[in-house]
Amino acid sequence: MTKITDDTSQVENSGFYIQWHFLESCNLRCRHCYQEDYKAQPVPVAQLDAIYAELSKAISTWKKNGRISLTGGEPFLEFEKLLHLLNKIEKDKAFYWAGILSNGTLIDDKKIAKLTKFKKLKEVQISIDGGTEQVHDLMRGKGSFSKAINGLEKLILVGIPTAVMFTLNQENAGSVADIIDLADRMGIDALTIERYTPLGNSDSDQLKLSADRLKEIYEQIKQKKKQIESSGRKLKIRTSRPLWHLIDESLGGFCPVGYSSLCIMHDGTAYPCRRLPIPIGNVLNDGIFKIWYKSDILWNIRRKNRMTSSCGTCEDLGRCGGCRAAAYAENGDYLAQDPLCWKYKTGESQ
Amino acid sequence: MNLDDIMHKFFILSDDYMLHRGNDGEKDFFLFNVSTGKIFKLNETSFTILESFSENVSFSAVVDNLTKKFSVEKGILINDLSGLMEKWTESGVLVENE
Repeated sequence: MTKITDDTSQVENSGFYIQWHFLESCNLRCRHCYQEDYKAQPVPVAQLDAIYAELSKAISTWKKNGRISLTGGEPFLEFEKLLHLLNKIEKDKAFYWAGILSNGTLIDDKKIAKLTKFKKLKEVQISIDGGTEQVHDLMRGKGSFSKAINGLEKLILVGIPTAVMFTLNQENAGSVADIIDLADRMGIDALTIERYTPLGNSDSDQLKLSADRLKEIYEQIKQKKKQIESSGRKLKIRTSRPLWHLIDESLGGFCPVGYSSLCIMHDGTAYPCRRLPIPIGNVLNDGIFKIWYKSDILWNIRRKNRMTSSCGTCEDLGRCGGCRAAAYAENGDYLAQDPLCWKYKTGESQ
Repeated sequence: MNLDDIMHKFFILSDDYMLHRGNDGEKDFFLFNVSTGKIFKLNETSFTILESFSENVSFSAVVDNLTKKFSVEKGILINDLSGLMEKWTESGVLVENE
């Protein structure tokens, strides 16, 4: 007997995250940045609206709990468009949560006053790449630390929840303890320490971490996290990504790429993740459903048994899966081994 | 639907739909509508029948194929398929391929 049942409701109420890079331009030129082109023409509002309509339709159809981060480039460079998009999100049931990912250097009191009216704006994340001015400015340019910290302080002052993104690399790895202390001292809500993905920029050889070094740093972070959490302070150090479970069984987890997240570029191009810049379609031409259901790349990522390396046969596959972007950056193969996994170092047999 | 009329016609899964089989060894079968985003859960029989329309073959060839696959009498199969073909062509899952 044949049986066909509408199963759309089965995906209801789970989360879905969209990271939307609605512009390319940026006022900084960070050494670790994965962006290659800063000269793209500004996107007309009508095009942003068309992209937004697709994103909203998908989240509504699936009845997902939608979260969306608006970023660039540097989103505060086109503040009117940022406000326009936040206004749309505010009125739209599809998304319950909005965030902004910024370098923090263009935030001022006037802009903050306009942001405070958005109830759905749940987090502004500022990138800080060093616990000290010297380390941060080495990555992001002279004067950028004081401006970013100033922006963060202003956000904290008006009660907008804040997060810090620290892109961990070989040159700032010694500053991890400092960044945790800084975030804790400032009253930041959350800190994400994301490892650097070497995506073809000129400094990648200097910035690449080794697996052993990453392990050392993760151990350090775990200790600091324990101290902070046991003291009841508010800073949350996010440790939900692959490899963390090798440090502590209670940490880590699958990357949501392919399951519950998607990256959208300024022109509507979709990537599995911003750090895995393989175009899988364009939401304006293909529609988001076609991309989500038909992309072989997404299906390969979802089917963990397709992995061509020790990741695919690892006993921890069910709770890790490695970082597919790191595998792609290192090997040109997103199904290859996570190059920073210290359990099975690249090239060593199991 | 008069099946005699369609025996030599060609039907194919619409571009708006995509069949999906779960991970190897799993008995999960889905039909996705890539225009509306709708997800339909199938049982293995429905999946097998719809999968037969993934290639450009005549309806009679599909019947022959399914007769062998399900070890069922041709007449019984054609009778069962009658309702399904009507439903699937009306809802646009299958389209006639001229």
